[in-house]
Amino acid sequence: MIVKSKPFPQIRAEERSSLVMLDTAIALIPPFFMAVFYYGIRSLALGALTVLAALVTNWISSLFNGRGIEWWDASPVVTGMIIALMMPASIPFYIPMLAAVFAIFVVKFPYGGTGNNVFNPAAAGLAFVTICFGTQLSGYPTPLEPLSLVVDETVKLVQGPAAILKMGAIPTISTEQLALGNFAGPMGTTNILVIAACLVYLLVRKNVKWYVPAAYLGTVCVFASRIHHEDIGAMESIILELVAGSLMFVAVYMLTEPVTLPKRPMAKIFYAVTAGIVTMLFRYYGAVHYSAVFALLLTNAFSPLFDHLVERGNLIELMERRADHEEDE
Amino acid sequence: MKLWNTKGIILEQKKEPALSRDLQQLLTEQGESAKVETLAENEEVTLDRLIRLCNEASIVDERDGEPLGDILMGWKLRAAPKLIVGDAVDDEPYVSNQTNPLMKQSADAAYGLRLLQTALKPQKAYFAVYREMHYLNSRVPTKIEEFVVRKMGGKYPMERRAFSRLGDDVLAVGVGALIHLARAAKEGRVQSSCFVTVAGNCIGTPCNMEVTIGTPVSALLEHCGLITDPTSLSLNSAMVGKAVEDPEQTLIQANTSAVIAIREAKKNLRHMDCIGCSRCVEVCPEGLNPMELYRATSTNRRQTAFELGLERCIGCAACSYICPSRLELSHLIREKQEKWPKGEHCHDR
Repeated sequence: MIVKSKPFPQIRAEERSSLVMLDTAIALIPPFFMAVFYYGIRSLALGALTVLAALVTNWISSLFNGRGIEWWDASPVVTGMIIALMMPASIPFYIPMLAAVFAIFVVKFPYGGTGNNVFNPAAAGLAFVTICFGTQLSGYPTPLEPLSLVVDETVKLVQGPAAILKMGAIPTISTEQLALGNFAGPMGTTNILVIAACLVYLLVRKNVKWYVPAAYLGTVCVFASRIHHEDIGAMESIILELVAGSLMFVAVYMLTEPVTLPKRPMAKIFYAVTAGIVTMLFRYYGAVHYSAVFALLLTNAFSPLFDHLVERGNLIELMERRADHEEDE
Repeated sequence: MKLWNTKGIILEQKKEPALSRDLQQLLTEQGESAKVETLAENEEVTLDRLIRLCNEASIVDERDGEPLGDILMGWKLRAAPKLIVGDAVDDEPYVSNQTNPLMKQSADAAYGLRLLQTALKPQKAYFAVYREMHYLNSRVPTKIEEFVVRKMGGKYPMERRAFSRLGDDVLAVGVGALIHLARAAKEGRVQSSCFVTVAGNCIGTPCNMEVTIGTPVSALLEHCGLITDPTSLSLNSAMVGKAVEDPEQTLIQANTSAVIAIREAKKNLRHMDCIGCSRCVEVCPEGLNPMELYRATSTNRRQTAFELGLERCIGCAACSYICPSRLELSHLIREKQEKWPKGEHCHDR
């Protein structure tokens, strides 16, 4: 009997990369259910078309790469779902599709495809359409009024609480309605409780480290409790800041994306805190909505730097330990 | 911060049923003929006497294959150790070739440890087993004769790290060597056998065996029975062992701890490239960045690899184990570590 020699180890952990990606896609399904509940079947069509655009672009670009079609790669599905969920339900179909194409073809493919992108593709796609079609993204339909597939001028568009906050006013929505997500906003990001439940799933599956969203949201809370409108208390301000924009959604699905996240645990915390600070600065002084998305893009660029700094720190510590050891001897 | 000592992985141990089964024997007669002078009834046990006994009986520490006589010789020149540990820590999956003899031949193991205790006069002596062994059919005793059995915990790879943490004044001797020492002292037997675990998902009756040194691996497989053909066969460890290509020609040595036959289930899930999940960084016991090292070594960037700490890799394969993309991280890093001599990297790019 001759056995072929294979590299060690003989045994491997059960986890697969394709399943890691699939897990995030699964965690993105519940927000879609809520979107269907609030805005009708149009949101589902929006999601399907965006995912299709992302997938097709990915297949075409992987042909360019010479890799062949990687049908098991679920990361474009995740990108497409995130983009769709961050859009108003009344958006024309071509805008999220364009965002998905931009995300895959410009932000992911030139860097070498899945696993090599420097910036979060979904965030970059969203930033692209915000710049190109800003006005169409700032008005949201009222929830619980199902939309037909074709949206005409009769659909009333209102501003979300994030924009109201930005103008210096206080949105008049009860805490209960805020928790239920029953207010105007992007179709998938208003349902805080659903997103929190999905976060639990991702934590249990060990795809997300708890300290990343915790450090990010913690930083935002600290800022919100210090700097707020004089008519409301610190607690109210925290709730409004957390719930109003797309902050929770970004914290759970986009900030924790493994490719752009630094690799060292300590660096991850620094990264999340920085993202939190930048988000709040954008909220206070920036001119764009989707402040969390732009903040994330900006922090993405610094991700390798955090790793480098932490690694340096570790190296110095190791050298000191060795020096101590030699002295002892 | 002791970051380096806490990292690693907790592996599923899969030691049963081999651990609880009786020790089986596969011995040939020829080794039995040679005899050494036994310890007399009330002879004083000195270190010199033990060293002579170990050398005559050619006792070898089964953990690293070093002769026990040499190890004891090292202690002759030093102050007495504070602590002697009878090492039965099996931290690798499937392997139980130290814990099982400790449980089944506990009298001999205790006798061997007692001999070392009387000769070296340490403050303490105990047996150590691995704590992270769940779902055992039988319980590991808490005390063997007068010696406590301590459970040492830790994530894989823990054995070497755990003993270095105990300090410098510690003598750790494998339980197999202790048993052979006891046999030499009591019956004058020369070590001609060693304890080997035969396990894996292809093995019909996984068990621990006492095998004559020099037996081919195929004889062990025959004794335990193969259910199916294995896709990989290795000596010593499923994580970092030595691959066996031809079981007829590969012989059991004194430091062989296990024969592991694994058949990997074929699943139609394709593997992707690195997705940057950073699981390998989290488990690396040396605090390295295996993913960056893999990128540097696979693209032949020698200087980058050394800057990332290539020479510090201990080859425990924890990164390869955990990788969801199933990249051969450890294999490639070790290969380059051997290929690229240290110190020459400065000129090369």
